[in-house]
Amino acid sequence: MAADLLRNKATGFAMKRIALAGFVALLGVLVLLPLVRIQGLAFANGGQGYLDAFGRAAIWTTIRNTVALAVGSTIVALVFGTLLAWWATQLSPRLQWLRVLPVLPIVIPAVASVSGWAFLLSPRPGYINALLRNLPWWSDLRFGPADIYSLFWIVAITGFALSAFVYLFVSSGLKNINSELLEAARTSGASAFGVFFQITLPLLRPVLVYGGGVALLLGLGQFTAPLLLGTNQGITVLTTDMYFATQNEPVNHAAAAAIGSPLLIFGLIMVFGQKIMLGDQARYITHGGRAFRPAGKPSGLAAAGIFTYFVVTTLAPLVSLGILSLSPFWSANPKWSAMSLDNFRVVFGESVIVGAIWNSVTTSLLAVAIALVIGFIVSVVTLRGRRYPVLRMLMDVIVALPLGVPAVIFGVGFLLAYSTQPLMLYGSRWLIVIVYVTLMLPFTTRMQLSGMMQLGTAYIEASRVCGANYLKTDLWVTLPLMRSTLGGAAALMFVLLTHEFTASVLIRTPRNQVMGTVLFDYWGNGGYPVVAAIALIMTGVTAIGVIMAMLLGGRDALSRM
Amino acid sequence: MAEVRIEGLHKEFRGKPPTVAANNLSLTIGDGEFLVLLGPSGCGKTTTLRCLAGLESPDRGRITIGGTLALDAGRGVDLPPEKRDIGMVFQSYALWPHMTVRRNVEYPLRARKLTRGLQEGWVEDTTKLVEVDGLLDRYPGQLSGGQQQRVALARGLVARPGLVLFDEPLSNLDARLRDQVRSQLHQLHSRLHFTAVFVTHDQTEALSLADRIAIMNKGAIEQLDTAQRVFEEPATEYVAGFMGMTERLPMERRDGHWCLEDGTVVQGVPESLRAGSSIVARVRPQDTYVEPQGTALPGGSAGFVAEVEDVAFAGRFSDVVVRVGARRLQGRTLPGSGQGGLEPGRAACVRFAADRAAFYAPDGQRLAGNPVGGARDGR
Repeated sequence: MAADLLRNKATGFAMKRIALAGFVALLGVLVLLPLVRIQGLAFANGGQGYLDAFGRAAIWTTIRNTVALAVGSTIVALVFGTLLAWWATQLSPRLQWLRVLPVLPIVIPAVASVSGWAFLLSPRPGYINALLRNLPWWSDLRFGPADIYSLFWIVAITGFALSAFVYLFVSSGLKNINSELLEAARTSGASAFGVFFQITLPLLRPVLVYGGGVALLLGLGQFTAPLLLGTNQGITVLTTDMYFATQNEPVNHAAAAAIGSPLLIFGLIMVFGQKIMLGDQARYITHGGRAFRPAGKPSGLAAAGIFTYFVVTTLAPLVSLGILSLSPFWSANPKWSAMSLDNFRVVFGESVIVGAIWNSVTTSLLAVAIALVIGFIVSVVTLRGRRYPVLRMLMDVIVALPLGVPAVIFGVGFLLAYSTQPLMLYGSRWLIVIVYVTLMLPFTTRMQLSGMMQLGTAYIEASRVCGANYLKTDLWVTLPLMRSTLGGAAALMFVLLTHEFTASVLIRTPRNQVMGTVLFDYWGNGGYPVVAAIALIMTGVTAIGVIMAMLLGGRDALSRM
Repeated sequence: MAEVRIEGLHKEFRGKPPTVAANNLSLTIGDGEFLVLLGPSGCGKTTTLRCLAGLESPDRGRITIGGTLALDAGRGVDLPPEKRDIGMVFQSYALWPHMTVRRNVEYPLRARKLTRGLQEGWVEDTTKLVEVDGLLDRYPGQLSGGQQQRVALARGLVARPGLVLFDEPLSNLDARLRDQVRSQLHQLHSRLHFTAVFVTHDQTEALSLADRIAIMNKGAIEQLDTAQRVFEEPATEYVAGFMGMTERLPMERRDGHWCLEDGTVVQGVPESLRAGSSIVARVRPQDTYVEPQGTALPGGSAGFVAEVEDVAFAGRFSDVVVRVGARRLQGRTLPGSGQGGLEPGRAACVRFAADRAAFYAPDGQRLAGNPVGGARDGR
């Protein structure tokens, strides 16, 4: 009997290993194939791609712009993100809802907010510029005073968007600071400002370094703002340069592939660096946390600061979209009497746009469903798969890669990998779904993994000693307890995918569009009122996702990304 | 009901240096026996329990539960927890918050497909036993700590497993509730006679619940004996310290006398001890009496002179701190004597009955010829 047991156990073990190896291989194909294809092409013909890409004089301006954009927007994001997070700890209980405002730039579609900014600060017809020209010292100007189509504003707008990420990191960092440390400084005679600069900031240093690193990474991979705002002035960064190499005649895919390499290398360094620093995820399992008491007295100034920041950076572009979407054309002085819903009628009458909206929603939902399943399996293996150290480590790195590698590289990579036989998916909706699943791998894993780690091991062990195997335990205990995590994760991924633009614009075809790409087409044709209407609809779809996320995942759902 | 055999259980956790949580540990737990694993945190008691449950995979060893081979590391047999005939009660209770009390308690029956138990009302029977039968439709979040603990107990017992494992189940309860649940558990065991392994670091809990206590140190068993024997005849100095014999008196043989480190002579050390030139005496503070100097030493007692440092009123007696050389000791005045005529700074006579103390060799092993159990030791 013991021999039987032995054989069963050995075969069971081998079967599981094979199944897991297959799963990891599938993830590998998903994530690595595009990256391998892209480098293969760049190095083909004796590295012709690299020669084409880096042999041009213009490339150095592009690299300089890219660094300026990344560093500049990171600084903006660090300053505002930290300030907002600090303010958020000083809100009175009645105003706690303000905490969610600084996160909103993440969930508002980038194409929507960037075009909104353009409508505000375009030199001639920008609404704010027009208002500013009414001031006596600017009354002689015919343009400006601000010019959105400049590197300065591209940096600023990107920085505002990235501040939301820094805000999330610093907020959670502040929660981990024992408030007695701050109170001790106060009772030792330090002022509120003294405490902030002498105690809080030094304690936050690890968080700021990490958050700054993430912001830098995202800044380097930034695509939407430079594409929409920089193109006419010839301000290119590496991502837009890559895009143009795939779109403008003569199309040079090899050069496009090579241009992305600096971004790819930096992303890989970030991902591996983080993995090495964090180590084994299972070590971070806790059995419940301590309560955090906010430090200091509620401050009206803090509330005012958060609200002002929200109005200026988030609400204003949306308002400009609102005004323009109701206007027949874009002019500096909108005529209130001429306003109508005509633009929305155009949008819903145009089969391409309706098709794109439908496409966005269905591909996103499908991708979310697939990503949820993959994320669950990855999380389970990460926490329980101690027997498969090598496979587990491989899997861990693979699913983290899409966070470090800019979406534009995946866009080009998927375009190359799936536009030739035998994997001819170009032009099919499935390609969009596959790209979306790939992009969501880090998010679905991180959110489910942290949910599982918060559950702790006791509930699962209790079920197993009661006689339930892992399958039953997951069905009866883990999944029901994870319901809110799963709901929140699904809704958040839906939000991120419905406003996905960067990878979509590279793999779309004229007959196979999503909301962001169809908006971009109208932007290129100068159909600005329709752009505004589409942007608002995108924001509306996103808002539905956000509300679902909050209902399913609780009020903190947005901070779990 | 089941007999449990553990043979050569060994488990190390990687690290620098590696932690040995179970060091070649062997143990047989009788059918229906209540065994307590007692020791400070980090001694390996919880790891041993988790190896029994199948939640931890040992490096070496064999475990059989009720005749079924659960583990044989040498042959690669390691039954998962769900295939072992066990129930377990966790320190954090681990009641699933999304299920009612009834669903929680009937879970083991469903998971093990014991439809008979569901039909015959084992859930109702068990919850009645632990007096939570009125709470079946509530959720764990709506229960107090004591109620949650009793539900967890019911869940561990409901499937009538051969072996029930308890991982410090009482340590999250406040003192009064802990006493209640403890005596309830004791009654349950005498009624149901399940085989139990109970992990705790609380000696009171161990003494009142255990048929036998295994005192663990660095992954090995220091002493395995009945509660009474462990209490009265600790086999090593480590066990003595853990069983409340906190006062420690190292002595050396000088000129035919037993002397403390500073040369103070201790009188009345039993002659029966088969000792070398040095010994260590262990005694409980409540067995150590401090009296004014000059009081005669009663027969069968050991005593010495020390300086009184502090006297604190404690009701029927006073707690006294004395000093001899660099060593501080806790003792008390005789019951009913109040302050006992002691004053800080004055010399006093410290004494304890030799048969309430335990004597050890410098390596911590119990000496042959101890006044209690000396005959057995001398075997």
